[in-house]
Amino acid sequence: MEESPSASPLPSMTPFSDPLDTSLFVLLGWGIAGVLGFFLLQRSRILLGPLSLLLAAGGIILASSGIRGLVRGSDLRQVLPGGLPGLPFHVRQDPLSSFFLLILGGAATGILLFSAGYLKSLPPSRLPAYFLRTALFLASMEGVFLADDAYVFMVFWEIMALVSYALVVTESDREEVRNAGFLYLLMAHFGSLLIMVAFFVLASHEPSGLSPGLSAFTFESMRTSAPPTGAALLVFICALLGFGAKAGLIPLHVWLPEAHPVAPSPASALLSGIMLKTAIYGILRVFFGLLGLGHLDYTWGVPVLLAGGLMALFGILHALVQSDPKKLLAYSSIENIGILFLGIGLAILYMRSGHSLAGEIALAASLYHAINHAFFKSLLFMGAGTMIHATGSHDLNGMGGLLRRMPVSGGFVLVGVLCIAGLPPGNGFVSEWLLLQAALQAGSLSGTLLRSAVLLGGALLVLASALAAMGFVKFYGIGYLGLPRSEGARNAHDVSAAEKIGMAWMVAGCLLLALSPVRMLGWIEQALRPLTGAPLSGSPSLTGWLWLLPLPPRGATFSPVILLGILAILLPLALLIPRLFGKTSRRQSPVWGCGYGTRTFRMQDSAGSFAQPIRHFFANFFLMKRHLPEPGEKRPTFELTVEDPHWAYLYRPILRLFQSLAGLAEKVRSGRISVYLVYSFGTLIFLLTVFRWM
Amino acid sequence: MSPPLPAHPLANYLIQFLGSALLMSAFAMLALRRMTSLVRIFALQGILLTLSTLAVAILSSETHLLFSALFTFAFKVLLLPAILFRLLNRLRIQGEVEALVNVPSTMVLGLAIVVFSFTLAGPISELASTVSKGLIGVGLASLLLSFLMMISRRKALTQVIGFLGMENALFFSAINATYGMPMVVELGVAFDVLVGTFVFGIFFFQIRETFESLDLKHMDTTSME
Repeated sequence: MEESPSASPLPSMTPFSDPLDTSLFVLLGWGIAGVLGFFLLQRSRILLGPLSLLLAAGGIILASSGIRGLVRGSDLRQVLPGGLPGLPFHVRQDPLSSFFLLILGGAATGILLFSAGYLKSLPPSRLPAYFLRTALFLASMEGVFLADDAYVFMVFWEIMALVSYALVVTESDREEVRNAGFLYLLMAHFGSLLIMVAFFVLASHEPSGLSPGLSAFTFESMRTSAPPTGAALLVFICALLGFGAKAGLIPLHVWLPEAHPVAPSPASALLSGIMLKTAIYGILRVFFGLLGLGHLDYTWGVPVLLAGGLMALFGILHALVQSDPKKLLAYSSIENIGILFLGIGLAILYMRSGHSLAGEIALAASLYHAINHAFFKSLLFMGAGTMIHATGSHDLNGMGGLLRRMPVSGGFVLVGVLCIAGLPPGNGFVSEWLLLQAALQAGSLSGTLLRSAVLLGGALLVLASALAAMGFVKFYGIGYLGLPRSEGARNAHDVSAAEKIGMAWMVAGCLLLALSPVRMLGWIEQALRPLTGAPLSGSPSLTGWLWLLPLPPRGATFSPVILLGILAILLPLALLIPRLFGKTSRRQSPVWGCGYGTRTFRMQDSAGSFAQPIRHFFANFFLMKRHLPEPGEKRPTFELTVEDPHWAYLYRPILRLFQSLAGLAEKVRSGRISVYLVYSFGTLIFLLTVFRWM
Repeated sequence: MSPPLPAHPLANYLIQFLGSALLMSAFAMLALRRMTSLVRIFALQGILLTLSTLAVAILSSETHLLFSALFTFAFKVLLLPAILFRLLNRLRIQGEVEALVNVPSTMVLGLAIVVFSFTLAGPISELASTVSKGLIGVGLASLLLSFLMMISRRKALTQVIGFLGMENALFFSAINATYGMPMVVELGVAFDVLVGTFVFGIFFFQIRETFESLDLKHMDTTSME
């Protein structure tokens, strides 16, 4: 789809007067600061604070550049020298890029502030390299958002993959870390390959003669490409799977719950909070930007929609049964990305079947959820990091009672938990509610199958949200409430000031997103307008700042501010009423102890027992191995392992197939030189024969 | 490339004779049982190659082929056989060539290969515009025969000679199909072969040090733990 040129296509030459210049400045600054920090940190660790602040300042500048780009709706391009012959570097900051730059800048700032305090515990020998990787990682993600030709995009995409691999294997002396890193690298390469195929197909269908040679690989000329349906479908599938491998699309998700948890917590936050969004950006860019809405078919939305719904359900179910808090969060990321996919699928389906308003709401909800997820998931990963630091345990069963010992960070985590659980008036509620509103427009679609698919997606969304609430009750309840379950949890203490500031930044972000959805949706609408064609008259929002009315003139409305006001009145009341009217008489504990005269931590729900009903109801989603004690055993043990069924039913069979193929190939390798010569002789004769007679 | 002169029938016979002599020498390599005579045959091949290059050069008045002939003579008649004889002396090899497949069977297989090569070369010969285009099949046949020798012999040195024989055949085919490769390529290949022979020589000493023999079967098990 051809895009209308921007109001001011030529960037002005004065430095930093326009958002793109600012963003490029930050990109360069991050790179330089990273290299500088690498050398400075080898001298002294004291500089970690100032250097992290420097990076964080870059994040703030970037976020402001993103906001400026969104407010103005500017679409700026530049062609930088360098690159391949015939294909210089093309960069561009259109509103969609601006939006994702806002996510990157906003979330990265908090994470960097946090890591200034958190990284003090990293071994000194690892610190410089870690700092360099963080800075390069941020810069490469920014490069992905700014790229305007396939070459720049792939270069930054690959840098991002490699640097994030390096971040994952920061603690490379542990074997599980190395394994997780390898798995991640494998998946990243698989994805890149498919993305490249998508780009090549797009470039090859560009109207010939318009852009000779390599310049067919600029996004500008890809936008003019007119692939036939088959090729468009190929691009669609390749982009979906290629970016899906990065986003954790089932069944390509197996690396995610392995790799995200083993990285240091700030790195996990960057990976889960921001890097997953690069994949979403890529999908939006290819589907709506390069391929163009006109080349999509509405039926293609259905698989995306259902895949998203299943991802959400599968992710949150597995999150529920984890007892490593970071693994729980990683699986919850799969759920959230599933919600994003669900929105994208809905958008394709609605927009291509003539319901652009509902489609736009679905897409806007997706983007809203993307920025929400960036903030609360980063916050929670930081929280998980502080939990692990404080208790020295990677297991929720070794935690408990942390809120009493870490009141400040515990409070911050509580905000994150409420938001991610999708409770009003948190920011998670806004986006999930919007998405549900879009799904409920299914009645206007024609075709029973289509309608039921959309409604099924909506139902999955609701189920996943409810389960998410349960999952985070587990996360918070087992981790922060109750009695401490270990010596480490008993001796826990609160975190450093820098870490608190970083978490506070994220909390502030979540609250802003929760309380001013109308402004945020206005920006998102700016970001989407170039992708979805003409601006809509009855666009979502925007009746004043107070009420959110996505489907004018009549439809459900929501006002977080008023809801918060009501809660602020009701909550004290709810706390007061029992005090005033409840029975206050005390009672003595009876002799036999069933009145809970003593409480020990063994009486509490453990992480495993909390999820038992879920394991029971949704047994098909898990692969469980249970070991029950025999009646006569001297030391009875009870053991339960829960595994992702994709390993047993998909990946291990593939692995076995490859191993048996390799075994066959090994038979060819006799080790005798004469036999090898016979092979080449035979091949030569065969090829000559083919050449002569075929 | 100048158009070929109206070929003198006698000159044509000469070229054909040299070609068939080359083919015979390739067969001889397959059949011979003594190492020293193998090297002599290799030198003979060099002489045949030089002569046929000269003949083609004169017939087609391609002057650069004269240089090719000169190089061929220097490398393949003088230098390489000298190195090989030296190697034989230093390694004290005089004995019999040991074959994996017995000689008569190899010869029969060789015959089949010649038939195959000529069938294969038929269409190429029709496409080529050289005076000696009928001989492409000969080149191909000697190439495959040399390859066959590499396969069917046991000692490392015979493999080197087979390799050099393949190179000769390749050169012969190039000359007959397109009046030779560009000079730079020819020189490059010649030096490659020379260096290769040196490296082989060094390796033989190393291998004999390690395995106390040059029989390939001692090297066979290296990969199988």
